[in-house]
Amino acid sequence: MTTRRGYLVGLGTATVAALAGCGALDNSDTSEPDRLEEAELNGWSPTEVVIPTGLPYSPPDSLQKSHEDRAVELLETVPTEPKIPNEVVKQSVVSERSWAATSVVDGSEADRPLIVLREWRGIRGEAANAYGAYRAATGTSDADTVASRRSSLREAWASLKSNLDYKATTSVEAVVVYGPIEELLEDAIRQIQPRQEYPSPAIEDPEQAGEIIEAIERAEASLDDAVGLRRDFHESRDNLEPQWASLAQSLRQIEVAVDRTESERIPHQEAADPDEIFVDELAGVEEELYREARRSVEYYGGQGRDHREAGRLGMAILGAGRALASIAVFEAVIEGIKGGDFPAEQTPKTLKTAAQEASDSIRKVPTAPYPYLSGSVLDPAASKYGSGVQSSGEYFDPIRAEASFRYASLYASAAVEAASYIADLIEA
Amino acid sequence: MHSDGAPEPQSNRQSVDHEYVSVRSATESVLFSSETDQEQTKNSRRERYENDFLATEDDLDQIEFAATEKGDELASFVSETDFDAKSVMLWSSGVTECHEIQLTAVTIGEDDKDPHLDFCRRTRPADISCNEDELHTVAYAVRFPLDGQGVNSYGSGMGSNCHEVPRPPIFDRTVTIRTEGEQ
Repeated sequence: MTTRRGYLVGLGTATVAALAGCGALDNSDTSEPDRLEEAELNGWSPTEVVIPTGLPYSPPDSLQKSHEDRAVELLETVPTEPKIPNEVVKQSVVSERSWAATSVVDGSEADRPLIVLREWRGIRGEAANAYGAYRAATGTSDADTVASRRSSLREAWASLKSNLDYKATTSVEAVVVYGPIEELLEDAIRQIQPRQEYPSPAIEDPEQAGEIIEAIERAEASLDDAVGLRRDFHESRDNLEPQWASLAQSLRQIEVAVDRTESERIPHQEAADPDEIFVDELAGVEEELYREARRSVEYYGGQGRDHREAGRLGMAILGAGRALASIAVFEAVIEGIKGGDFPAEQTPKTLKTAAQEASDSIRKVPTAPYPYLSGSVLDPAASKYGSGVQSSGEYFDPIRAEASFRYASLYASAAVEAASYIADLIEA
Repeated sequence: MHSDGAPEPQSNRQSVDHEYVSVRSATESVLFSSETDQEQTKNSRRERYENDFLATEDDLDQIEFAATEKGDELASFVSETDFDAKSVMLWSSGVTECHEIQLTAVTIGEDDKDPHLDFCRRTRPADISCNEDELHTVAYAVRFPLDGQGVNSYGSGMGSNCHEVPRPPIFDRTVTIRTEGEQ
């Protein structure tokens, strides 16, 4: 078993050493480095990386297919050339319909099953928006349907939430399976709760009517996925045991661990000012990386307790994993900058190396001792890698690109360590 | 004529009780003007914009209203104003046939008492036959509960969202400590 101290010390060393591989150059020169020009990259683009899944089973295509079928069904009721006297409203309905129809054809290109489902729920929502706006614009009020659907969805939500027994073969498996289900329930209730009233008469505001119908459809889609994912997981395993009590117990320990780690490894607010930590003023990739690492610590640090208090045990544990990983990255970034482990000047080679190391680091996750827990904690690395790709090309910003890749690289290594550490606490 | 309660003020402004009339015309590009030429044609939304503050009867003399039913409606509302205690803001703008403009807030500055109007633009009901290329003119006359003598500036704003839910007021109730024996 990895001890806490072993994790704390080991992680910092390992990640900084990985950075040093990029070439430890003298960074005593604080003058603003020359900006990398796009032409210097000679059309280079970062490798495409398949982000490892955090789900320990493959949901069948039927979930995504049911979203597609429902989207098509909704769109079939909306004519491509609706008869609406108000030209602006007509154009808006035509655009919504056309947008949704294109999305149905394009589908999702995401790599992870949970993201694919999320995108399909979005497409189903777009179709519902066109449907709801069209009906309102042609004089049909859905006010009663909205009220009754909200009410029945709320009942379905409450029943699903109260019956979530976290059945799995192990407690660690329960975290990665039920964390996403909790997230779906969270999405659903957010959409069920009214933020605006259905317009009366509906014909006066088809846009608002469409938005409300979309929210309800998305809520239903989220509940469909929550039910479907739980059912499919149950069918994929024998010997499932309820893990709720065990997770609740572990979570207390994990929260204490996060609090202790935070207070021991993160400088206080004032002390985290880069002027207090570093001799030289930060610039370029270092400055961007430091800013991102610090922001992530603040962002991921504050989420766990809210999840626990709302009974979302899986999300709370996954949130703790992200908080720990981001703490380790922040510390590694500080040590790396202090130790001169980052290249002082950005070149095409440093950017390419950073991208390569990030993709290598992400690709290694499935070989980790807890591949699915690591994959579930990995999200920030996946989104940072995506930002790096965008900043290398579409929004050409080489400094941000390199900082994003370096963050992704560090975070992917940290996610594996944080997952092992959390798994140890759960299994203790 | 409308009389509204207090919509949401901006942080340094306060809502005031007010009365207003609004008119919309598909045919008249100018419903009132502080200029002399009433027959001018104004073809764009920007050209139809006009904003005047009337603090006194003399100010009213500088305004000419269109000699039409809509112009008369505005003129009649403004002329009924007691300028010793109240003042009037006149506002007009072009709007496409498919849209309408709603008055969302009538405020004065907390310190300088300068008057301000806020509007929003929204799409008209779906069953109104309209074309986005056609331009209409809307005008508002809003009566403020201040004599307008000390007003240095005035203005208006336009938002694209008519669904904004007003923020609740700050909780400002107070409690006092009672001394012993006090009823």
